[in-house]
Amino acid sequence: MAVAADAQQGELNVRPTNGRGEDGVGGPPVLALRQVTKSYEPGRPPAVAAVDLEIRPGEFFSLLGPSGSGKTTTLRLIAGFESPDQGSVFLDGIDVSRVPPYKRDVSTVFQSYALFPHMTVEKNVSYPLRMRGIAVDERARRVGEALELVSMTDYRARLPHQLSGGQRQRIALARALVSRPSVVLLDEPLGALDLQLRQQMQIVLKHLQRDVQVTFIYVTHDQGEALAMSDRLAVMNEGRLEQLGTPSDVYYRPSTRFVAGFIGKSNLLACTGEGQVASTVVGPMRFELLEPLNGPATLAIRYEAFSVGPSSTEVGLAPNQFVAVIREIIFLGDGIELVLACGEQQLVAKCSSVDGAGYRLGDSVVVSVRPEDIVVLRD
Amino acid sequence: MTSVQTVQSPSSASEGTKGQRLGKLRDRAGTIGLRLPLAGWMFLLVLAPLGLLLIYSFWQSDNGLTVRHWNLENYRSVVASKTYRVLLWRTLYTAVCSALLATSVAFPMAYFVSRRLRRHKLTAVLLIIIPLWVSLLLRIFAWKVILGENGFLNSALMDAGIIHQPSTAFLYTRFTVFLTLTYIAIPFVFITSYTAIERVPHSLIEASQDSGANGWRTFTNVVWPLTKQSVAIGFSLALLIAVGDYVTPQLVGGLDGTMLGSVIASQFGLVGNWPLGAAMSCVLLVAVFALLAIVVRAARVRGVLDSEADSGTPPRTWRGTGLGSRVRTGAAWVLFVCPYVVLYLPLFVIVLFSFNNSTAQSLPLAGFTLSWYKSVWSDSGIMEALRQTIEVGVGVVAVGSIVGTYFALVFSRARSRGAALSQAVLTLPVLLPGVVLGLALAITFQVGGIQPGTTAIILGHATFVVPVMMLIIVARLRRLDPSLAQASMDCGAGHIRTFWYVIFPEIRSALIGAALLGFTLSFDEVIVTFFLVGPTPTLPVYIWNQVRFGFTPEVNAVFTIIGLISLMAILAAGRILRSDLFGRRQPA
Repeated sequence: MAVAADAQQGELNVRPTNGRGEDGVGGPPVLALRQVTKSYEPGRPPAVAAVDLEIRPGEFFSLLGPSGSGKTTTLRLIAGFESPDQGSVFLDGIDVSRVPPYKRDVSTVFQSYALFPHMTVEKNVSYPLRMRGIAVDERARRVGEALELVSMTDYRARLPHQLSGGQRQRIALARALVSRPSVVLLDEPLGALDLQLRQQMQIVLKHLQRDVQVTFIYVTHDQGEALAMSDRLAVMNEGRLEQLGTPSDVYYRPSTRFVAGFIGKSNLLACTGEGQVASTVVGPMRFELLEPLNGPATLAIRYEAFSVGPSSTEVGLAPNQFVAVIREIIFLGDGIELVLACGEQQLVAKCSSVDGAGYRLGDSVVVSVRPEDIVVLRD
Repeated sequence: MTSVQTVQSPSSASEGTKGQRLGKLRDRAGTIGLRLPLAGWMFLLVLAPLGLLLIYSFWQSDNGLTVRHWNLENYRSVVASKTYRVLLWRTLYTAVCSALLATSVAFPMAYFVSRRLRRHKLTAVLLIIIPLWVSLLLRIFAWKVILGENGFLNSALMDAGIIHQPSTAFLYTRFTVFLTLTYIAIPFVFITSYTAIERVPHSLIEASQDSGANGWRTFTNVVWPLTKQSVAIGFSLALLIAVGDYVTPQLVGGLDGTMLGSVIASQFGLVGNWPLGAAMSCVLLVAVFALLAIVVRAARVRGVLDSEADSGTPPRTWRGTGLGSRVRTGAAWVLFVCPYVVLYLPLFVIVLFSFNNSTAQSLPLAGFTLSWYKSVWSDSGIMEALRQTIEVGVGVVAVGSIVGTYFALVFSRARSRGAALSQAVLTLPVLLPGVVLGLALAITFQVGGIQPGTTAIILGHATFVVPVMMLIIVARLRRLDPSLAQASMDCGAGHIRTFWYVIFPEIRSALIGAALLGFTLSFDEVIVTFFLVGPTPTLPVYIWNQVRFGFTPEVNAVFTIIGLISLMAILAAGRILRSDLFGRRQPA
């Protein structure tokens, strides 16, 4: 078992992260998944396959992936709405794989909010306390606190259908926090909100989490959200963990093609390495690398890692500098995305709106990239 | 084309407004024209019968002839007579008790099916509906065989040594009536409860578990508050069926089990005092609706349940692995299966006696024979009745499909208060106790000069089949994306072609389901039909006459055959309707 786990770790290329340890929020993991596998229908690929995960107390942890990647199933396994086919879920070091959800010290913020439609805001928020047999006056005090925390004190007597989406969201959050669980699970909680409200709620959530010092596990398919809010995040695809790390780790040092393609905009260039130099299969373009590479690999280069300049001087191209022709200009507002052709090889690059203002379709430009911005992915 | 029609030119203001006013007027006229048939139906087949019933209740009968002499004599005799007071009290009491028992059996069953069963859900639901396809009268009659002096229950008890002499206590008592009415009501309460439980979003149950509530507390705090309104509707349905039933009391109740419905029916038949019957009906209506108002008020729930689509697997039930919980699970299964046994026992009796070589419907069995099946074909009475029943059924379904779809289209667009009110009025006949509706329609058709017979029965059945079919189609139409019709019109199709090419294909399966249900309702109806039937009886009325005046087991054979055919039909229909009524769309 241990051997298998090690093999898994090696394959997943999990980096040791020291992000939180320095902030003093470390300690033994509050939650751990060990080789957890779950499939809904026999014969179909599992929704979650052999996932290993450790989450530390007080951490804001995100599960990021496209729909169907198994992130929601992972969350449901933690909450106890599903039980794993194989492997175990540990909460505070205790195996809870067969413990029903109403006996687990976690609470969930549902995507649909799942507020009880026949109960007032106050009743909704006090429900978890009532179910745990907490005395009436203590209940009232904690409901008041929780409502204050989400700035919804004035809405106690309302029914859920009398609230807006953002307000329901806050009540759902208050209900999840009121029982002071060791872990709060959030299943795409901002998915149903419009963009402006979503950005506002991101800040609310982040502040709240910092204030109450509770572990948040946040499921989202929005990479921007995950990068902005998380202390650490796990990228999932087809039921497997692709990469685990801090936002900057995952962003700047993707460990798989999937991660490089899913987060941000990347050029994924198939190439063959010979020593310090890699040449693309089509193109051809020759890149100088920091570390030697032999055999086929993929180069991942963020589109903003290219710097683009006018090709006034054709002479004296430095290493990792290429002449390309503009095929498409896409105005992004805060920048301009350029689709370039460098020989046969197509590239995407980003430049500032100011720099890109003069470019026209068919113009020749010089693009360059620093060797340290090239990530080598061995297939 | 579209843009020309919809965008009015702002130029030449005075002419424009004039044109607009004309256009508005034309629109209004069109709307009224569209709603005219609806208003006509409501007036002629709902309001007129109720109004005439009320008017008749103030008239007098003179040797079977109605005299238009206004007075309160009927009401005085109803209120003054101790017999009627006792009967009214007994009717309400028995009906409430049976509705309560039916609810307390059917709701847990529905809960079990909805929350515990996975793959065999649909089968479990269909198994409860299927008995409805076999003649209600025969099923009730079968209870006589089960509970009678030489019946199954007595033989079983004697074999077990519990009693030594056959007991007569099981049949011809008020208790028998109560049990039989419960038996009739169970499927109806089951269906209303089941759909309500299925509608509770999974996420709410999970949110409750997540908040620390176990299964029981989740049920009392979340599931029950969100379903009790529908359960109250099921309860009311059971109550109304029981109150309007005169067949059951007469078959299994004996003298002791007589209810008010029987007396009202006899005012129509033997006694011929329609005004007195009308007065009793009015008293019964007022009493029942007062009772229902209390029930509905008590079951009111605050808040609005979003009909959000659930995705993924339903929430799982956590069961312990200990002996105690295993015993509990086992007990739940036994309790779950019991009602099925009760539902199917009468069917078993019918099939059994269709092969029994005796004209008497009682134990012991006399030997195997197929002669009842053979004589079915040569019995012109049965065949004539069957033909008449099918004729009526087809007629009702034809009327129901056209009128029901038409009304559904009108109602699916209208969202005003008036529309809600007229929808309620249209649905009223469904809520009337059978005996009251029957008498009211008989009076109306007599006044309107419609002779008892096929037309009268079709119209009579249509009063309650049309609203049922309409409600099913409205539910389907409401789920339809409104932009479909807009897209079709945008593509240049008019109202009629939009309906034919876009709307109709979408509602087709709902229409088929509604038609099947409508046919079933008509096929088995006896309580209302009895008031409308002409020289040729329908099959249920034929059986009703037989079980009262002399029984031939051929009807057992007929219903064994019909049962088999309808079993196959419902299985086929279940396939068609699966996705529409029960299925959540499976991801591909």
